[in-house]
Formats: sequence, C-alpha cells, structure tokens
Amino acid sequence: MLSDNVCMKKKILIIGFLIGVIIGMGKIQNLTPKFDIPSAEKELQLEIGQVPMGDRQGGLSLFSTKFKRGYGDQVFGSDENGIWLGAAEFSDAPFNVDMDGSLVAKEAIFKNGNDETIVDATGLVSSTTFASDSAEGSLLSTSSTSYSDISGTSMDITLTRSARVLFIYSAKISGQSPDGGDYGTMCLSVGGVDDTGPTITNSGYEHTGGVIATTGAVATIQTLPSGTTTVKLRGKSSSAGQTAKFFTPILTYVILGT
Amino acid sequence: MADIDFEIEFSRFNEGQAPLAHIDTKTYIGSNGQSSEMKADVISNPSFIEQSPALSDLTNGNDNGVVDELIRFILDRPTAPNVTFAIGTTKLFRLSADEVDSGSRLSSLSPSLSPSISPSVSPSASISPSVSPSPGSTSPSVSPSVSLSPSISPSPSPSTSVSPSVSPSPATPSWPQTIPNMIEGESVIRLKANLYGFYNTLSGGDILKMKLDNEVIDSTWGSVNDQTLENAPHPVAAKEDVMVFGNGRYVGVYVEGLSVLNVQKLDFGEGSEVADVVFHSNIWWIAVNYGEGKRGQVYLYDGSAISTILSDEAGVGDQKIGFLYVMNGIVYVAYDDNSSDGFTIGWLSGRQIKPLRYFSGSLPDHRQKALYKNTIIFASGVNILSVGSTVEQLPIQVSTLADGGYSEIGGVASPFGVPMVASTDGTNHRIAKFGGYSVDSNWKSVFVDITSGRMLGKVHTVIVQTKALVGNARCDVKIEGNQGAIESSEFAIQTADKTRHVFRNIDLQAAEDIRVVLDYANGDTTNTCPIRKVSVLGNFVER
Repeated sequence: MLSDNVCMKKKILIIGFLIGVIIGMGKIQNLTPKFDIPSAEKELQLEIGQVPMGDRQGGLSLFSTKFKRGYGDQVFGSDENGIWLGAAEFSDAPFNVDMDGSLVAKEAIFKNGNDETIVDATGLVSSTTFASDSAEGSLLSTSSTSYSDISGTSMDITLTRSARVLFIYSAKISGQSPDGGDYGTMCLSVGGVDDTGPTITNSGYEHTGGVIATTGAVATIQTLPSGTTTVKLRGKSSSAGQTAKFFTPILTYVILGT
Repeated sequence: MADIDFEIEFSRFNEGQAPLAHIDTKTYIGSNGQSSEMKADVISNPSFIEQSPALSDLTNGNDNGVVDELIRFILDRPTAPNVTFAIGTTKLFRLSADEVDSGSRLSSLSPSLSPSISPSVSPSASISPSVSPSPGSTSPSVSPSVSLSPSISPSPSPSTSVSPSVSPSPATPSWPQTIPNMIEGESVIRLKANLYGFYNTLSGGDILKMKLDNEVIDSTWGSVNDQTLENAPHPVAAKEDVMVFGNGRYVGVYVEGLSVLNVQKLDFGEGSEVADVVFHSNIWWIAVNYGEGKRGQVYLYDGSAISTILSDEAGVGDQKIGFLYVMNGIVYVAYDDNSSDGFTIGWLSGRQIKPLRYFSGSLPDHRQKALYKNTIIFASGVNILSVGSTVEQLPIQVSTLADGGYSEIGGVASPFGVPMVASTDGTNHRIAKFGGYSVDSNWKSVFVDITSGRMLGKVHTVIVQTKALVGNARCDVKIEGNQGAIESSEFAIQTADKTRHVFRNIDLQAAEDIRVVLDYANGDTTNTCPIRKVSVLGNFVER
C-alpha cells in the first residue's frame, strides 16, 4: 500500500513537471515594430516611362515644349514658334521657319542640276539674268526716210536661254525746218527687226545759232531668244531730202530673267 | 496556449527618424530602427548609434577672436589649399580648416623668385665637378664618385642679379575686411581667378569682386558694371565662366569671358523671389517662390545663359522652396508644405516633386546646406539635420545629427570635408566645426504597444549590444512607458571592452506601451559608445 502511494506521488510529480515544462514552452511573442522601407537605390528610381526634366540624349536637350541641340548660340532648336538655327532662341536666329512656313534666312545659295550657282547671297547670278550693258553712239545725220544704223550703238546679247530684257534708249533729235514739219524718228532694232518696241519721234531744227533739239527717251521690255541677238539704234528722216540729226544716242539693256 | 513572454529588438538605426516624428514625438508608426526623437549620429557608421558630433570653435572663430557678427554664408569649396571665404553682416572673412584669419599675412600666394633661378639642376647649369684621380691611377678622370659643387650657379642671363632666397610679396589686406554699406552678406562664389560676393545694403544690394591673387576688394563692382541689386536673397551658382544669381524677382547673369553683367536678365514678375540656383546637366535650375512664399516653381534655363526665355518648368505647388541641392545627379528640393505640418525634402522625378522625408524645425535656405557622409546636411531650427543614404543599398534617412551652436544658425558648409556651422544668439557669435563628441545627444525609439488582450507588458530585461567600449565611453539606457508617463531608472552602458550589456530587474511597472531611451548626457567627449542593438524582454501580466 505504501509503495502504491509512493508510486502515485511520483507519477503526480512527473505529470506536474511535464505540465510545467509545457507551460514554460509557450511561444515568445515578438513585438518588434516593422515598417518596410525601400533602399535609396529603389526609392530614387524614375517610374517607367518617366523622362527626367531637361533630359539629354545624344546632345539633344528635351523639354516639355521644345528641344535643342547645341550650346549657346550654336543651336538647332524647335518649339511652338517653329524651327531655327544659329541662336539660342527662335527670334534671334539667322535662319528660322515659323509654323506658317515663312522662312527667314541670312543668305542662300541655290544651284542647278549642273551644280552651277544660280542664286547666291547677292541675288540671281545666271549669265542670262541681271547682266547689263550700255553703248553711246555717234551723231547720225540722215535725210533718208529709211532707217540707217546709228553708229556705235550696236551690241550683241548672248543668252543661254530665252529671257526678258529691259531696253532704255534716248537721243536728242532735230529735223531741218524750224516749223517742225519734218522730224527724225529713232527705233530699236532687235535681231534685225526694226521698230521693236516704241520709237522716239522728235522735231527741232538747226540754225546758225545752234541746234534746237528735243530729247526723247523710252523704255521697253522685250523677250529675246537664246543665242546671240544683235541690238542697235537706227534713225530716219520723216521727209526725203530733209535732214534729221540724232545727237548723243544711248542704248542700255538689263537682262531681267525668265 | 497564450504567449506569456515578449521580446522587442531595436536595430538598423541607420533608418533615422520615424515617418511621423515631425508631427508626433511619441509616435507609434515606424520600424524598429527609427526614432521618435533623436539627436545622434546614425550616418558615420550606419550600423550603430553614436553620439552627435560636438562643435569646436575655429581659432579666432568667436567674439574673442575676429568673429563678432553672424557669418551668413560659407563658401562650400576651397579657393586654394586650405583656404576659403565667408561673408557675415558687414565683413568678408578668410578661413582655413581650423582658423579664421586675423590681420595681414605675408603672402605665400606668389613668392617672387628671380626669374633666372632654376630650382633644379638642369643640363644648362654650369656644374663644376671636382675631379679626383681614380684609385690606382695617376691620371685624373671624372669618375662616378665625382661630387658636384654644392652651390649651383645658373647660366648667365640678361636678367642680372641672382638671388637664391625667396623674397615675400607685399602683405595681403588685413582680414577680415569690412565691406562699406553692407548690412547683410548673402553669398560668395569663385569664378575663375576672382571671388564674387553678394550682399544687401539699406537701400538695395551690390556685388563685390576680389582678385584672389592680391585679395583686394572692389566693393561696388556690381553697381558700377550694371546697376544695384534688389534687397533680397542672392543665391548664386557658377559654371566655367558663367555665373547666375538670384536678385529678388530677377535672375542676373555674368559672363566673365564677355565681361557682360546683367542683373535683371530674367524677370519672374511682381511678387516673386528667387530662392536658389544650381547648375546640373548643362542647365540652370532656378527655384522661385510666389505670393509671399505661398507657391513654388522650379524653372530650367539654358546653360549658356544667353537666352531670355526659360526652357521648362515644374510646379512644386502650394509650397515655399527653401533650397535646391544636386547630389549624385539628382536635384533635391527642400520646401515647406503649407498643407501639413513640418517641412519636406523631395526630389525632382520627371516633372514631379516627389517627397522623400519630412522634418520639423524651420525651412533652411540656400546658405544652409552642405554634403556630409554622402548625405545632405542642413540647418533646421537650432539643429543640423541629415537626409540621404550613406550607401545606396540602405534606405534614405532623415535624422537630427547635431546641435547648431547658438539659437540662430547662419551659414553651413563643408569646404574641407568637415562641416562648419556659424551661429549667434544675438550677443555671442561663433563659427565652429564638427569635432569630438557631444554629450547633448540621445535617441528614443518609437513607442511599441505591449498589451495582449487584457494583459499589460512588464519589462524585466534589457540587453544592449555595442562595440567594445573604450576609455570612459558611456551611454545610459532607460525604458519609458505609457506615452512617457512612467519610466524606469537609468542603467549605464559603460564597461570597457565589453560588447554585451545585460540589465535585469528593470524597475518599470507593467505598462501599455514602452520605448527605449538612450542618453549620452553622461557620455565621454572623446570616446563614444556605439550601440548596435537593444533587446527588450518582458512578460504579460494580468491587469
């Protein structure tokens, strides 16, 4: 009986010990505060598709409403005004094109298919345009009613292609009689064709004290063909046997272009 | 089976202040490494909490020396080895890493040497070797044992006198130099061979120019070359020979290569004020505040500073900008968020200003920022704060790093690698640098709830792990509970060479919440007590 009691007590002790151990093995609660914080590397990343302000790619500076390539005044740029070259901003650039297509350029060189300059900073440069010449002839005195060449006014004009030419010619003209009944007529001859353009018909007369003559001048634009064309002034009298005189005849031409 | 024990581990102190610490100094929100209040160093060695750096005055750097006024701006880079400059309210100062220059100096900038002197032996120098007979030979010969005449005379030159001694140049002006009419210095910058200083007067402002070789100041250079400035902040930045500066509602530009100064190059309009200017990625970044500081905008301006048109802009919003700072290719912005408490450091992400961290105190301006340990340090209130990450693998932190000295902080800079801080209390003035350790340093964790159902928590053990302590290094730890209403005794962490400090029988009653407080008030100014981890153990009790 006594040994049974001892055994029972031992069992109770063991069970009690085990219960104590089990209780003692209860989990320790971790109360450490947590708060996730990304690394600086991650936090300072741009979001996908986001472009840094003032991004530069391959020398191009990108902004929200413009881009520029270059520095200082050595810039090619584009903004709401248009495109430009050669200055920090559109308005100061020696070359710019606005949104309506208006072009401002400090100078330009245009060439043809043969790499020949046809327009440069000074303007049209073709041999067929803007060339000019002038000739002052000698006195013509004639009593013929047919045209005679006025010496010294003949010029050859050579064109690579047909072009419009401005002719200006003048002379002091006198007839013979003081009553103005006879007179002289001067014309422009182009390529052998007289009366090309307007004529100058003036009267006046020569007397012992000198000559009373009137000066006439006209301008005309004529189209000349390609090749060489001879132009000159010619004069005639209105009445056979009456002498008409042509003083200081001058012929000038300017090639205008096509 | 209910848990009866609890543990709390505080570590990763590099994470700085808790996200809401600027709003609530007893916040519950944050990680185990973040603080609710602090003034400690968690950036020098991010694994550990260390004491704040102390401030030690530069030689002559207080009223007993030559600093008898607030130094408002310190140039953040040297102009010569161990030389930089600072500007106060009436004077320009010359500094080295340890001293504020006082009086004239014999110039060591350009010692005058006779031009015919060559300091080294050249082939053209006439050398008179002493010829001695070789051993065993009767005929004299020049041998490798020939010794050169100790005085080497240079080749004759048209410039006559040869003087081996260095004759010093005339003495420099006496430092510090008083600037006539200046009442408030704003900034100083080096541009090529000159130093430019921006300052305000009673009626406006001006720009001084000082040649760095002779240190002679032209105090009205700006008004003479263009016109007077506005009476306003004058932040400035420079790149190569171009200088861009704030001038109230205007931005001014000076191109040294063209000798052209225009103090009103850009006009931001009535009611605006330029807060800061930096140069980054070939562009000038200009911070402008509008409406008495109620709205902020950041503009981009072409790097050549020729145009009168801005390139781009981003709105900060209803916030006042304090400063811009470029670090590692990112533009950071400090601003005052009028819609909430505290101030913000953010960064320009695309066209957004993304907030990063928040702080309390005051909004720093362009004069009060510098780089330290790869973080931005700046003045806020009476303290120096740090924001950033020592290494990019760690999170960005904001922390109160150190005391700023007197109650009003002036310029903050780090021209020689060690931060310098100028301050005043209205009567006393100083410029000091970080040095040693401050005992005015502490760290308090966030509050941690230690209730479990009806049970409260009872802390019984605190284990603190440190580096092996040296000398008189010491830190005291205590536990606060119930939002600070109760607290335990302080326990000293101080045993030399020990790394694990165990404190049992913590005399704090059962509480709803607790936080750890580390206080260096009894610490050492020479040897700090670096703390790596604090473990708090306790159990729940019925209440």
